[in-house]
Amino acid sequence: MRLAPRHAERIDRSRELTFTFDGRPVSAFAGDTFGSALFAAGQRVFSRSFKYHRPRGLVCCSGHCPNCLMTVDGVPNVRVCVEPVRERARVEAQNVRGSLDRDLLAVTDKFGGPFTPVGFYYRTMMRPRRAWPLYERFLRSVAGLGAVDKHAGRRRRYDAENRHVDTLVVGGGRSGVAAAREAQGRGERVALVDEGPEPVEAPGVELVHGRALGIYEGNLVPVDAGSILYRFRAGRVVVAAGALEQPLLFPGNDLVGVMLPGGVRRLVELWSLKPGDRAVVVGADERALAVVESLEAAGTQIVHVVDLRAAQPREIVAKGIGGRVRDVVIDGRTFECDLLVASGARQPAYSPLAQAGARIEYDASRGIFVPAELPEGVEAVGAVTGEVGATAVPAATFNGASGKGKCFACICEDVTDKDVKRAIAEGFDSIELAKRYTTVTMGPCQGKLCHLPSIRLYARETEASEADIGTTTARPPWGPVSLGVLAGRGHEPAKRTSIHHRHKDLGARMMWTGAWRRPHSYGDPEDEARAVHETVGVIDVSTLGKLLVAGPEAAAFLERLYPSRFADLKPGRIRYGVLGTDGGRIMDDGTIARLGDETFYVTTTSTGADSVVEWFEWWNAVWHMDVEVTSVTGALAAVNAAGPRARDLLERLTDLDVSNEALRYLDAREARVAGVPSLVLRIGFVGELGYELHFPSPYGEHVWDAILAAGADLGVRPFGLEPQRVLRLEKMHILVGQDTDSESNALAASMPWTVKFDKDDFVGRWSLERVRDQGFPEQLVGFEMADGIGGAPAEGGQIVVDGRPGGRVTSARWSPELGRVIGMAWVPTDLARDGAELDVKMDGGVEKARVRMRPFYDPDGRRLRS
Amino acid sequence: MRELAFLSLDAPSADALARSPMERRLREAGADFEVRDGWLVAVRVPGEDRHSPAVRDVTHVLSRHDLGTVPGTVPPAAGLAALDVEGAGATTLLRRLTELDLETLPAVGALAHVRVWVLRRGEESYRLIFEQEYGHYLWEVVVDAAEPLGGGPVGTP
Repeated sequence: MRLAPRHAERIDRSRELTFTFDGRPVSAFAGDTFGSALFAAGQRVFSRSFKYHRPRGLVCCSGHCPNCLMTVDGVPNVRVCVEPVRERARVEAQNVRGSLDRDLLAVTDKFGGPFTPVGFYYRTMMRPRRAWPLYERFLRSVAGLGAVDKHAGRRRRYDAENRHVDTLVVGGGRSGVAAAREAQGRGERVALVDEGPEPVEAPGVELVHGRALGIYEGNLVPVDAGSILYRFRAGRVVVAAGALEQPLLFPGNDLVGVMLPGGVRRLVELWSLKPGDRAVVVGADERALAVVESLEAAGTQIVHVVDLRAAQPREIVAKGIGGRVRDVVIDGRTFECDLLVASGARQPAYSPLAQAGARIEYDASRGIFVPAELPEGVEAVGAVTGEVGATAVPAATFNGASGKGKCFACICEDVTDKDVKRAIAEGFDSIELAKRYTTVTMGPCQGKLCHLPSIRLYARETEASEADIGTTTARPPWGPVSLGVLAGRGHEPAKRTSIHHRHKDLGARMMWTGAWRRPHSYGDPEDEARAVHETVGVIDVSTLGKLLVAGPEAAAFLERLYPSRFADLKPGRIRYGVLGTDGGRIMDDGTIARLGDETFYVTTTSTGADSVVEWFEWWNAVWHMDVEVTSVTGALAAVNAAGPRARDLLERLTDLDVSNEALRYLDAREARVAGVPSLVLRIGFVGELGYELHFPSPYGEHVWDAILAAGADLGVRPFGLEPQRVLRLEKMHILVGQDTDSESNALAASMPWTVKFDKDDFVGRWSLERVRDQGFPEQLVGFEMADGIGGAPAEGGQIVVDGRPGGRVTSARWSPELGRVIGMAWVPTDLARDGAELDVKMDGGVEKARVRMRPFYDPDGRRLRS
Repeated sequence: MRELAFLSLDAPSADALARSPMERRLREAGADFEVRDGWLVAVRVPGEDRHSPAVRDVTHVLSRHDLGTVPGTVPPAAGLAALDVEGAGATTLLRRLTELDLETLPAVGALAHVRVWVLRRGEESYRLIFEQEYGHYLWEVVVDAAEPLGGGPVGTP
């Protein structure tokens, strides 16, 4: 039922829309909200309350109160009073067992009262203790509002959008629009945020329909606009959030038909709806009492008006039938009505200001809290500053003598005045503690409708003043916000090498190593490892960190950084180096190739690349040396071709003389490979004759394809990280971070040959000298399990010495080549000798193992040099 | 530092084809390719006429791009990839991916958690330059964000 067309109405009666409510079709006009359309269709009960499941109806029609939360198209907790109608939307009531009109859980209202006071689950449900899981399951099934659709994430997408403006105005009332237009006139970038529901007229100003959630450091203001979160960064934030009508506390103040004046006015003026047939109006200021005009225009009979400024009744009691107002008793006089419009003072909506750092003080003459001392860059205009006109200070409650009926201090969480009194009696006498105990202000309205009334109640009950009670800390968000909005789109950066897609084509199983996606294997790790030992294997090692260190002092720079010696490294030669921290601990490792007198090419581990670059740059800044450090990690792809046929393979791809005499083990040469200028490093991480080819990334697929094509008849096979791990373990080559940790040093890691004490100072020298002089309790060794043991101990597993934990396994694998399980482990130093016996814990039992101090495979490195 | 041939994109022989890290994604989108200056370049993408904002792989022009105008330390061209985002909605698209103030370009900062150099080429026209190893990822992110705005991939005619 609609009223005759009104001049300011927002509905377009020529455009009808239809949606369903609990399966039944409901018609609406364009411009309606789901709430207004349902009201027009005769719906009065919009929700069931949080705890007592009492029927609740529209109160504010502005998206503040919790009374109209419904599930729309699977999204729970939509405030339907402000949600514009959409064609064919599916609207459902929530928090009910049954229907809105017949909710089975309403029994808690009838019988649960004495058993379910605030904090009841800490007390009532304590005994018997072992029954708690049962209670918990029940409580969880009835608690909360709405049900989350666990698959919604796949259907609905949320975005975040960053905006930079000079001035951001929060609130589209008169003052907000004026502030926005003024800033616009100065040529500023301006945006105005308004959460509705009333239309904003601000020609020329960019309007954002959404809710400002808070004001963060640096004037960052997130705005929830439904499926998008705007992150405004503003030079200046102007808060024009207005003021909020405050409910009065009296028995029956939550009955359907008890409304705030603003809600009534919006029903009439925006959607041309008749809020009720017979109304009683109780107001504390001019604005509240002006609702009488709207009601008269709607044809509602005004039964009685109470102006709290003239005199305050002792008692107001709303009585209802079926949860709906039937009559109101005011100081003994009974008024029959179906609508009770009641409000106290208008409280400035200071929360965003308080949360930004404003001080909030109490204005005793008007009984409201007002903001003072705004932080820099934040301004306030209009009603939020306290310009709310003259107003009466309503009594804390209008309970009168009878004390019958529930009187709600908080309709979100169903907290009554008795609950608050009880909390005080139990000793929760500070407002911050009481808030946490009673949960007043912690519901969907976030204190908009309950903060001031509960402070007033507190002041009366503790015989203190509101100024002494003070407000609770204001924190964002200023209202309910969906987690999807906060999460936005999931972005998980992944690095891929330029050969990535070829691995996928070849059926590689990919794995994460740091931020990189790398092939674990191509389906058969054992066979891949065998190819390296018997023919030739290729592995994409583009992820290696790569650095150019160039300049007159390049060699001196590396001498200082590494414990190894580089001054004597000849151009065209390569040396392994372990990079240490200033505490002498192992930080990274890699190869250093001297390309010229003043140019070095340094490789690092894949995951250590970024920190090594920073480390180099930091020391370069400290030492002021004539050196330039350039990271070329991403610029170069790298492929390692290793195996007895690797030379035959390389020969087919380059003009370079690759004979063992011309290109020795640990030689570096620049050459064309498959037509692409490359750096060829002859190294041997996986224990066979091998060449690492480094070349510009865009040629990754070209070179890879050329290698596989040229090596087809040689039996070339790509191999992944898993076979590489086995191969390097056979050579006892460490993996930094796997076999070492932040405490490990090169001496204890059995690599004393990388530390040169007979050279000048280097990073970590002092610490390493201490280690050398004082010794170390543990050493990194290799071990092999006895024959016949096929399973490898867990990495991180225990080494048992004399029945006690004495060390730990860092790597362990079955080696098909050696036909046994091999590994590396930290063991007590006195056991770090070839052949020493160890016990290794596995699968609950203990197995024998033997220490090995030299590589398991080709200990003399003949194959590397062949 | 002396010039190192193995860092250069100019020297390869004629049959060596350079590919952008986004080449595979474009191929999967049905793009037609041509070889230009040694690069495999996507020239047409099905449906590209309807795409605005348009997302274009311009990695192949980077070696001729004046990286001196780009703020901060930029890796060698071989380590970079680039996308142009242009047409109505381009600004909105970038706003959804980066906190950088697009009024004060060029700038370098996080875009979808990755370091990106953002350059302005016109009113609704931007160039994003980034480390090539993130090419595949950023292509997915940018095209995914372009879709609800009516945008998508286009080729270099």
